[in-house]
Amino acid sequence: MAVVEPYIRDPRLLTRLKQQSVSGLALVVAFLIAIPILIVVGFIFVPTGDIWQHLATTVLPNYLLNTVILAVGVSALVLLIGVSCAWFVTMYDFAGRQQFTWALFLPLAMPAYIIAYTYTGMFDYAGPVQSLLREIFGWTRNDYWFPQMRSVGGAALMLGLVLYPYVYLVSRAAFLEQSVAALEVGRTLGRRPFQVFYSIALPLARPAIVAGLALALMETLSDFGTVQYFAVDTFTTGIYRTWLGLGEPAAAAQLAAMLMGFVFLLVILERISRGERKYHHTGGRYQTIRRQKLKGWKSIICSAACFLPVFFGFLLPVGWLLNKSFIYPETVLNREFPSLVFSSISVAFVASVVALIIAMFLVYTKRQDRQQNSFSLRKISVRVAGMGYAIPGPVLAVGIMIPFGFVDNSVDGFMRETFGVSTGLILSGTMFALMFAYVVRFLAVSLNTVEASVEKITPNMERAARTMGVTGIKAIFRVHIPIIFGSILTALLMVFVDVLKELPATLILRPFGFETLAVRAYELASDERLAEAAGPSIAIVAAGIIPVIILSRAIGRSRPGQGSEG
Amino acid sequence: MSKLVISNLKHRNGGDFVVQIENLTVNAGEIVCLLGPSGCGKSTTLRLAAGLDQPESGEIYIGDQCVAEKNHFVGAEDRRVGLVFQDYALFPHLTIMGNVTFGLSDETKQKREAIAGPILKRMRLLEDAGKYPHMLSGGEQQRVALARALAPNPRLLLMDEPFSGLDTVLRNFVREETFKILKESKTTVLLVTHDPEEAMRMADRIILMKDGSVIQQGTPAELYSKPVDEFVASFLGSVNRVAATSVDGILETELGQVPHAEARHDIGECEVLIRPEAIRLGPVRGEGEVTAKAIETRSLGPFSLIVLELPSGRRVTARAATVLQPEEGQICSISLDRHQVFLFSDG
Repeated sequence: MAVVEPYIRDPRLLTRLKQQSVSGLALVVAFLIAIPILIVVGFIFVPTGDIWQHLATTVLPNYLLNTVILAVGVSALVLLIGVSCAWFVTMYDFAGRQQFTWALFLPLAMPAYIIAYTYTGMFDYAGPVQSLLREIFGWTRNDYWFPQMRSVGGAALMLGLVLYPYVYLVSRAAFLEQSVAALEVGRTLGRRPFQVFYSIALPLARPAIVAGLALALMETLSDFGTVQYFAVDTFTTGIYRTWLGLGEPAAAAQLAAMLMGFVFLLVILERISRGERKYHHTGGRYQTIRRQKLKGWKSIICSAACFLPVFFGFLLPVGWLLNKSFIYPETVLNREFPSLVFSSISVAFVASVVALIIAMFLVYTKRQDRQQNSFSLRKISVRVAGMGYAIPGPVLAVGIMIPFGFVDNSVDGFMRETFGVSTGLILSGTMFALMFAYVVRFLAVSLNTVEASVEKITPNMERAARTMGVTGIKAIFRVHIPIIFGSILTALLMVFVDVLKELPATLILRPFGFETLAVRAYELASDERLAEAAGPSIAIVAAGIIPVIILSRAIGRSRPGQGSEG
Repeated sequence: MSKLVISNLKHRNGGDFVVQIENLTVNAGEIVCLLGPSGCGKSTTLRLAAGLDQPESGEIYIGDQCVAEKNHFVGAEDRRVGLVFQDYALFPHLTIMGNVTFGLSDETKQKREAIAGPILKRMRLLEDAGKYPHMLSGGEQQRVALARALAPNPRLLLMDEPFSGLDTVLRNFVREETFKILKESKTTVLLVTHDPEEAMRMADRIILMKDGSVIQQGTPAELYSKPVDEFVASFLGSVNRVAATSVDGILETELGQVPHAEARHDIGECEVLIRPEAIRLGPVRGEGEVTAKAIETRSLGPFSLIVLELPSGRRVTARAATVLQPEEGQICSISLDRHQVFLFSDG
């Protein structure tokens, strides 16, 4: 029997009107956020003449090849590190296991472009490693071969080292969630521990692993800082160059559309691969995982396997950055640094608050629908609004620059014709454009966080509160806010840090003269002033550690039935 | 099918809890239920038998093979035992056929399916062979779990609360069906349950555990009618606790006198346990009879529970066929069945 909520039966016009305007507003918000996507997709059909032909014969094959190599290399690396480390810390007990459980998240705090600066600083010709080798062996420039950091392979390594936590995170959650009973049954059916991993645990965790891999690949495809710095031509650098270098917005948008095509292909492939199978455990009973205690060389191998990614993905680059900051304290202790920090923090703060407000609004509008049990445009608007995260920064920038430029030109033209006054740029190159980009790109982060926690408030809780006379605003304050408060903070922090790290969209859309930590680090590194880039970089990494702590705490609590024994 | 023997076993399950079993035997083709309240160590014992945990000390034999003793341990993957969990633990990524042939990995696919076919047929699952577990009902999933465990022809079948995931109606049905299959295939079974009724229905023998130790082993009838202590008596069925005076060979209670072999003069004042069905009700015929007033009756279908008030005001519960149940307020004469009156001198 369907439960009919009293307010649905409410015939009062005012209530209806209010509800309709709320859905209308939700649609408008979702539409605004969808604009950049629509613009980019729309440009597929705009003729670009010779320039596309030119791109296709000259640079496009190269973009494609590099992007594919990058994607394959990063996939291999993140799967190898992420899945194996997750399996080790979940199923075995070895020296340092507990510390590795959270330490393996740390590279997440390291933006790929920053680790690229540090590795270049360490391993380039003039860096300490090669210098030391030359000193020891008496080599000179052409005597020896050393792997070139600034290559597509180097970029894959950098991205892999900082993106594997996505796969680690989801695989660990999946392994923890699996019914231990299924693994044990597998053993009684004659499978050895590795076979159990291979034939049961891995297939069961596959959708989660693929989802983590998809995230890592999205980040790879949208990476700009690393490939630009390493001079590896990919779609993102191509878009940047076609737009700003060749001054061909339409061609840039078409490149962007191709890139987005890749991203959605990823999402679709993952959906298809699931087929009819269901991956949830079939039973409802959980047992605490009894981790097998490893001794001797097995324990050492596990510890080493978990230590290496943490070392190369976090400890080593952070050590280098700290070292440089101490050697050149003027990179931090200068007059500009405080204002740089201030401007970074202010945009990040404002963007995270705006994203939170919009996310809350959308989630609560959608929630009303769920209670009405209906299919609606509002639900779709929420989905669309959450898609921004899949759009690479440069693509987003293109998708914003084009319509904003159009509005500016139209308004300017109109004003000049009518009043003879030029209004110049109203939207383009303003804080508003930048803020808009941040919100579109990172809304998904706060949307997902808020949505997940609001879903914990079941309709029955609200009904129970109503039977005790707690409704409306009172229910919001006494039931909703206490339950979702932690998630609100999390949503704020996650977006805050994401904005702080954001590089390509900021680089393209920022108002003239406006700088953030990320932009400054990028500019210094581009000028080969790597040591000076250390100051802003270390500040970004320090901020990046905050969500890592939140994540590792959340995942520790997430296993159903934790601690209970069958 | 093989015999399972566990002897002098000791195992610490993390913390202070210790499972200690002097002797536990399941004969070939026998169904033995390991019964006890939750946390008594029955599941731990099952895990030790399966080879999922290694005991601290003691020996475990399956057939003639020693699978655990000092410095020697055969893991679960090499024991050839079948295991059925409460949540079935079916592999959701494999079809029913894939699940059932999972343990037959050494042969070719054709051979595997040839082995699984008859088993699936017997379990009435042949049409579902291509489906995935979540597409089946709870009862069907249970059958898949059983088929999967039996397919590799295990020496011993271990079941951990295999029916408690089902609702009451389905549970009885599935239990009967499983019982038939296990008996037909002469499977050696060790089944863990916390439900005494289930144990009595399924088991050739029951092993009752408490706090990590075996309290009593025997046929269901033995455990029910000859419990070794108060715990066993009250775990297998409800009891009335009644004050009594022990004189030589006789127990004197407010419900009348009964002869009892253990009754001795030196015990004196004591407490006895009386099963509800030991209190027989009848019409009052004459003087000198023990009487009680029926103050509440509750029908459970074929049987009724009757709360009786004795002259002293003390209340006891009796059980009688519903057709014979007295009216509320009626005075009945009562007598006791001496076989179901228990005296435990140490309790």
